[in-house]
Amino acid sequence: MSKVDISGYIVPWALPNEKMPMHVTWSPDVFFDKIHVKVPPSFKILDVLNVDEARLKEHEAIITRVKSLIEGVPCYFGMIISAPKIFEELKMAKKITVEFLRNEKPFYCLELYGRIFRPRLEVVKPPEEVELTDYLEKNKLPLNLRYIGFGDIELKIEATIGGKIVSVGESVVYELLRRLWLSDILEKETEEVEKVVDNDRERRKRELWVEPAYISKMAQELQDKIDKGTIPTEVLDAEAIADLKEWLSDLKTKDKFMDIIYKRTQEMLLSLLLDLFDKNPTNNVELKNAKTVIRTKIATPVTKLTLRLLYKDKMGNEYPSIEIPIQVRDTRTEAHGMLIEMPIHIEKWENEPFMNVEKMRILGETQS
Amino acid sequence: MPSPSDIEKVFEWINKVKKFFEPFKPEFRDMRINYRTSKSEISLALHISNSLKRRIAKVEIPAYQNFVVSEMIDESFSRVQSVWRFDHGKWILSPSILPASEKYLVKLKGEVPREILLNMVRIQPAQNRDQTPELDKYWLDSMIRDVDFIEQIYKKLEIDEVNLAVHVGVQRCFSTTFPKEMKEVLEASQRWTRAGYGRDRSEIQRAWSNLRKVTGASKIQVGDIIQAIYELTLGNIFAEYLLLDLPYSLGEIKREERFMGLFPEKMSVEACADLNLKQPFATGYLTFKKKEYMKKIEDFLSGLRK
Repeated sequence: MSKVDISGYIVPWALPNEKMPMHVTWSPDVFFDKIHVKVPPSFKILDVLNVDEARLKEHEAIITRVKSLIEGVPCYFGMIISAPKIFEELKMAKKITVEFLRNEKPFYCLELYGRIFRPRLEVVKPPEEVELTDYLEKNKLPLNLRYIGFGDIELKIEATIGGKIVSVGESVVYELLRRLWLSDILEKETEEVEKVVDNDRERRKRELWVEPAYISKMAQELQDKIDKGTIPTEVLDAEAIADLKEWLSDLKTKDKFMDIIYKRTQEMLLSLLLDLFDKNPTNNVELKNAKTVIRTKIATPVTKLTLRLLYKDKMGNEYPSIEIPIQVRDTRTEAHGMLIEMPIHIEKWENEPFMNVEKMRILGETQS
Repeated sequence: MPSPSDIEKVFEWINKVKKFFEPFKPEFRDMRINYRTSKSEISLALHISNSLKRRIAKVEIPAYQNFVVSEMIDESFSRVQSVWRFDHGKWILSPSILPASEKYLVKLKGEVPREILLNMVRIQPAQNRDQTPELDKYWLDSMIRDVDFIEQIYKKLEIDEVNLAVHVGVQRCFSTTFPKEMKEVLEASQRWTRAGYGRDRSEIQRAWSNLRKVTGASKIQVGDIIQAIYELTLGNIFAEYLLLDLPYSLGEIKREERFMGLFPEKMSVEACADLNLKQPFATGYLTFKKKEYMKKIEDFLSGLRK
């Protein structure tokens, strides 16, 4: 093959399903009849740019005319490809060939590599057994997790008993609602509260200020959830939700509700700040909920609990979930049938992300 | 890809305006489109002879699609002031008041529909960062979809400020830098406020003495933490920790809040490049110097402790 001035570029990393733009340029003295682009079966051609005439298939494109034939304008075409499947490998490089042909004979072949990376979550020493005791504070489900690979993930943890989800992610909104309701605050604002606040009003004044629009949005979100009936029954039982709905049907009460929420901004802000710490346990992982708690009534003896870890990357790709069956040892002597609360606690994180993937050499990849 | 009707849409107001200038033999000189603002600017060369100045008393052009006459320059490159006026939705010129020059350049500003701009240029930043202990990197890619289309509009077309919004995660910079004692202060404050809204008097007492104990050991207040987040996510401060490869340059930087509150999860950083027929594509990286940024957070917090 003779030496010609042809070069190409493809973005150096991508997640599964992420669009990978590439382009190929050549000098105006390169004459060809067609350009034949082949991508591996695991990739897909999504679009071509600056092309006048082409035949496109899923894994190949035959370009017969491009648009940049204007003097002084670089000759180029662009192509968008993606890897639509989630691979088992954490890193993968697949060859894309761009052949320039004249009289049906290739005279130049350019090789580019589509490089796909993915994350993986693993459980280090999965818990086999958990004990349910009379001492609520002792009920805790510890987990040790490991993150490897590439791509930030959002992790959601769920617990099921007999197929029913028994865990609840402690959203700030739900927490607020629960506390508002449980502390009877909707009935009347207690004078006691005011007294306590008075004691240290100066300190409070110095502490926090909040955007009213934020509180309003939070209150609206809460009200919508109540109106649409999307409050999980683990947060409030059905009866309490019905009462709350009725209470809020009155316009005056709605205003009062907003007032209460405004008054409790301090608490909400603290919750949010703590969320900030708790939601990012490690550099590449964000927890969907800062805390996940198993909150359910276990009346009849239960022997099995399943923990499910669901995670997705920034593209929204959902990776196979991890299921951990756990034996439950119920040693409660009293209070059977009472509500149990068991926080799922991530005790240890091992974080081993890929660094500098741009420069990383991957098996099967040769530098072109 | 842009369609022929897209060209018509780009030219719609320009062609209408051009008709009004016909006696002055209008010629397109160049056109600039600002991708970020969707504004276009076209330069039109006019030949207004002295006899025409005497013959044509007034030129009135309806302000199609709200176009604006932004500037008029004579052949000595001097700006011709106050010859155009806008009255009842029309741009009005009285040629008789023009200076001695016969050649003029008039600049008109209008808008290009957003959907056409999206058809003209393809942009994409990386969805996920590449990382080293010091840096987070995002690739940037922008490309003119069809140079023929651009050439048909005008050979000297420039598409300025093709902007890509990159979402740079910062939450973890804060959560991993804030010292443990702050978390303790927060937890104690939360316990105290929770107790305050409840009815358990002994819990109020316990929470209060716990808060006093924790805050006694730390000089940092909750308000300080919020202030730190606020100040360190101001666009001009954050910009110091960003690097962009040419031809990209830094555009607007703002907090991207998941809620409308005070806690930005990400910063939205605009990377801008100018594209034209000579440079129809642009690739490069946006680099976030996270280690230096975290050092800045640490320094800021240690300043508070003193």
